[in-house]
Amino acid sequence: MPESQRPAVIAPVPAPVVEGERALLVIRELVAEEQLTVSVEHSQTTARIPLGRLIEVAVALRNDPRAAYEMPVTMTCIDWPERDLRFQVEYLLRSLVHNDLITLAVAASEDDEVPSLAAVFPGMEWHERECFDLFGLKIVDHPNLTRILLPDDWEGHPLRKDYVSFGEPVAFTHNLEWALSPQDRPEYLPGAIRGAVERP
Amino acid sequence: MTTLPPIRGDGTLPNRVPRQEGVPRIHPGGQGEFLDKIEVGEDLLEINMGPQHPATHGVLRLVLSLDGERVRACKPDIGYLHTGFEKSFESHTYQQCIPLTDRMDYLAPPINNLGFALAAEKLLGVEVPPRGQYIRVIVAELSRIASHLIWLGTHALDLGATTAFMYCWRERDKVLDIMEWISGVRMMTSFIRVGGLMADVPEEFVPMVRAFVAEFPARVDEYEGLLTSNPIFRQRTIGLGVMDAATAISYGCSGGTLRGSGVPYDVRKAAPYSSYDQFDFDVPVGVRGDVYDRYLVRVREMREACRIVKQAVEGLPGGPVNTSDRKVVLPPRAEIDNSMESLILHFKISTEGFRPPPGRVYSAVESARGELGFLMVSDGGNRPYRCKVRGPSFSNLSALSYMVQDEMVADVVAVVGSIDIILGDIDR
Amino acid sequence: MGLRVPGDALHLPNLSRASGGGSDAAAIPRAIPAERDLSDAAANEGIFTTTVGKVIAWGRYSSIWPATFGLACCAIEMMGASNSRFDLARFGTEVFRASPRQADLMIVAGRVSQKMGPVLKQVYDQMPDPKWVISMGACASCGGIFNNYAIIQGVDKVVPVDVYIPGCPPRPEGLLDAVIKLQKKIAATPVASLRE
Repeated sequence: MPESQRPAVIAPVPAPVVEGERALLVIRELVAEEQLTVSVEHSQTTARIPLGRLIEVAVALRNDPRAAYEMPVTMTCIDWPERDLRFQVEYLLRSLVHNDLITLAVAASEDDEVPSLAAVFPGMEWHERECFDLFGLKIVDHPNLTRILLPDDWEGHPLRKDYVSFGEPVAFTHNLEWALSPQDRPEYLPGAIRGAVERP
Repeated sequence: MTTLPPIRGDGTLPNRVPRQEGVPRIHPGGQGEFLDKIEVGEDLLEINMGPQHPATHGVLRLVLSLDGERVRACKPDIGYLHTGFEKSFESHTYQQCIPLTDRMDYLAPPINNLGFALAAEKLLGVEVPPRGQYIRVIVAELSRIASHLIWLGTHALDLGATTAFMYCWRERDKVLDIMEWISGVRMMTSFIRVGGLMADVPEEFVPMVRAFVAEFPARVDEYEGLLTSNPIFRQRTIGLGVMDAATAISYGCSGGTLRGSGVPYDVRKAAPYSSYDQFDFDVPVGVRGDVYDRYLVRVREMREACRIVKQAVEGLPGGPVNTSDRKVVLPPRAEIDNSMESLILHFKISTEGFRPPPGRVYSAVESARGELGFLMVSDGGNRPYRCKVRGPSFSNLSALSYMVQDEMVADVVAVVGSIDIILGDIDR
Repeated sequence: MGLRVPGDALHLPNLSRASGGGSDAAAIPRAIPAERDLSDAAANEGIFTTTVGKVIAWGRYSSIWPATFGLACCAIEMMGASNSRFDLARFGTEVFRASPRQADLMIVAGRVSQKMGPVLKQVYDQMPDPKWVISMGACASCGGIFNNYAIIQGVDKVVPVDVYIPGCPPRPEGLLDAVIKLQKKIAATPVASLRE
């Protein structure tokens, strides 16, 4: 029998009806009830905790065998500019042993310093760089906080709601002259077009 | 119930045992730190691999620090294909986002469509009828086969086996013929849409898929005959790029990269979607966690995908393919001629689109590379407020610096090929 | 009006008979003017040089070797075009050279992001003359469906393009058609003009 035909595994643990309840067991031991906000949407739990408790909650969720959330799924920001703390920073963690998913959320403003989880989950390192790059989230104690997706000298953070993304005006017959003369409107060319050749 | 290696509780990063005693090793974590840990007297050559490189599978730049032929540190530099998908999603309606999602993981576009559609359907609370779900499964698994064929062809090509490249494309063209037959487009089909499909499949679909499924397992035997027992291939891949299960999990790896290390995590089994729980298939895992095991895992996955397609096409139910919720899917043409309400709904959906209620959901599918997740936030408007795409290759690639530690520079190509990255997922 | 090419003037003295040269003035050719009128290139060349020009052009277009510059989805169709079903190699593009120094065609296949722009320019500059560029796909030609901050709206903002292929991605037959059109363009280009 060729090696690739060797029998493969296994019945997984069935997913819970509401994901993330195991995490709440651990979180409630660490964070007081008035500082914790739990929301359940579409059977998924989001636990909002204070910014200062982030690392200890993450370490507890990883190490506690009741929870065992060892896999960093992703980390992202959601920008709500009308709020005081405009960024809702979300960390999604998965437990493979229990087949569970939890979202840890912290609220941060543009100037708040968010502690880095790269030492707890190596996979978060690049996700934090991405949040820094696209949102301008200030992260501290990160091993290498540089831009990851955009060029190093890029100005601005594109995924913020106040960043206008525009490449080139589209030329129709009714606005042909306007569209073909972008040099009068430099704001329509955000970000330098690097390496442009001087055309004769 | 799987047993995983014990969890490290002291908050430190996993370290690899150095291959040679006495050779100073640079801590692989913290990719900015590698220059700081150089021992006095050691001379490292820093070379640049990419972004224009035949073997990096896209525009990936690797900065390698070499000690002779050994890689002491590898720093991937990404962003050369950053397209701003997530920003574009915020300015397009949900239907307009579907063709955008095609272009992210461009080796298996229907799976991206499926992930996006599932997330939007969760927000909307609509259910796709069984026929639509089965066809989605068939299309997704066929595109998984097509993606694995490209992976196999290019991986073998990088290691010198040109014949496998030619063979794999022969089958891929057959899969693309099927895609073209149902949607009109070879690659970026946009066939799977929110609420169902673009349209019902034509009648030639079932015979075409049956013919493909009948001959494909023999083709996989052909590819395995070229590579699996090939001593050159084995020498180049066995024992290379080893990653143990705990490290793979801590980097967030998924898909073949994780299963090669022995962790049987597959989203189709862990959280079944689109009637995957009705099909009988296995999830292959590796033993050693090296490049060869990942190769075996993906080849076996091709067979399993073929198995799923066979079951789905034999048991394909009748009925509608789209949800009956008229606020989401265009009404059928016959109804528009007779009903004013259908006409208005058609107009509203075509111009404005549908408006999911405010909410947030994370929905994951198993793409060819791993867990493809869509974190979708709706504020009640007709455009996603925030749609974060969790690309599997992003996390898989972050483990590269661990895997190539102390390997030869010529083996970097083999390891990169074994992770099966796609820069569209990484850079988005 | 002829095709004027700003050429290097060969500063030869006017040694024609009219200016009263030596007895062997007949053997010395006229000074070549600073601007060459190439519209009469074919007429000026004579039978021998047109045939040589045609042979050189045939040699050039029959063995265009592309540099691997596949960026995104179009690269997959480019790989499909070079495989067994569509077989780009029968048009002369036998090998895709990894090094731009050994290539004469750059098929920009895929979207060019802002970070990739300078790399594209550098690879183009590294290619020796004569070189051509095919812009494959909508993203390379005009930015495609990505009219945003991240994508350069057309590679012709960075490198001069000879053939544009529409499509997202274009079928492999589209790429074959573009290569054929490029071959016709090379056949029609007088060889002398490529000296610049």
